[in-house]
Amino acid sequence: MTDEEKAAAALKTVATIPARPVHAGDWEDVLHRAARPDRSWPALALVAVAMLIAVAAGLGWQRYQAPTLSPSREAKVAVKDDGAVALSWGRLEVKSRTPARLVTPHVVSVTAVGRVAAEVDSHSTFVEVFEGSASVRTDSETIELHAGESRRWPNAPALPASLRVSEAVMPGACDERPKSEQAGCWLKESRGDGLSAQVALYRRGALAESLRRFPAGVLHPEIRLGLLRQWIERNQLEAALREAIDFEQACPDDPRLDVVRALRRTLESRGVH
Amino acid sequence: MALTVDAAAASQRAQANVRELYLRHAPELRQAIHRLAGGVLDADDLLQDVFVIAVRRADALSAAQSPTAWLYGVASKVVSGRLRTSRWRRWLGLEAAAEAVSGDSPQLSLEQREARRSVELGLSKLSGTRREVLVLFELQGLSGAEVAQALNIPVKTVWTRLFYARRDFAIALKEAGHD
Repeated sequence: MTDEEKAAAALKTVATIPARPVHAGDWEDVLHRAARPDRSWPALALVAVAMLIAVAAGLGWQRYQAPTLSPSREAKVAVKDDGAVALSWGRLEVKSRTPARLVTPHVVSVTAVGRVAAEVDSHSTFVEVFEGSASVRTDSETIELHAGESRRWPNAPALPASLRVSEAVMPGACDERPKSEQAGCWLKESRGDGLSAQVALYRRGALAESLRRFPAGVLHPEIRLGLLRQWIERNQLEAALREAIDFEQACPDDPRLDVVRALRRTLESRGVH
Repeated sequence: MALTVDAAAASQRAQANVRELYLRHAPELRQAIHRLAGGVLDADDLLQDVFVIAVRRADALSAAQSPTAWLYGVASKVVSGRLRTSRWRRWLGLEAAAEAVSGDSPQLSLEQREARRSVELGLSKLSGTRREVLVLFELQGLSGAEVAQALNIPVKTVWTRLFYARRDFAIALKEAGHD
């Protein structure tokens, strides 16, 4: 008998095996199942796939919409419960397609759309807009900044006219020299210990050195006012406040005392301390 | 109103027709399902699936050239679909492999038992399409035309598949050392 014949014989034998009968009652089960609504697995699968796609699209959209934060190495950044980004120190660049809210110690909020940078130091917040715009709200005002604009908060108060000192009121021996020789001349003069040295230090802009060497010198009120003016111009308002307080204590009889006092109060009212 | 009564009567007639087919063919269909599935699926459950489809599509069944071939065609599709999903379900750990109860009568001779063991082994070595043709033609006794109708393939394809199925089946038995 060949292999094919053996296989055919096996098949033939198995074909003669009678089938196990079914229970007539099983037909009722068939009818019962047929009456039930069919679970459409393809439809369920489609719904599941659609839901997955929707979730993925939602996450993608959220990510697309989410602001991109680029903090500097020393920046201290935290995200608050309401989604606002709190910057307490350093520089942070925000890139966002939707309004992103930023808070700093010096402003209530910066709402930025586009590319906006904020820089916080001990006494101020500097906001610079590269693209888009930023709406900066403080306790007293709301300012709109547009691309290319920048501003610092708190902004320095205008220096009163009486505190501006012109070089003309502080003439010195070196004024007569040619311009090219004046720097060397002031340096040489400042090495002395008299009034000419104080004038020379003032004209060189070495105000801190002058105050250190001549704390009660004839020119010390001018030197203090010069420092005050410098801090204001540099927007270093805490240092300006300290300088104003020093002036009030060191020069109680100076005729500009009231102006300095008013300036100090202005600084304090702007939150400088 | 008359239309509604006619439709209800037609539906009842169609259902009675399916019931008659169930009582006449269900045992052989369950046997075929068990053989097509290689004994790894619950043939009773799949048989119900086949007749649920038959009840729902009673019109198509009535219109079929051979209702028996139509039912075997549905059984074949149900088995292949369930085998496919079952593989995934087992791979995902949602379903455990279980030995299904045979559709054969328990009153078997020793020769029939041994032949059945050989045939089950041979069938397990065949591809799905060749196994279908061999089971329907050789074991269930369908004609070539009925197999063609059931599987929705040309009759010539039935003969071609049958040729290769017989050859592979014989090789499988030889390799297994069954005499």
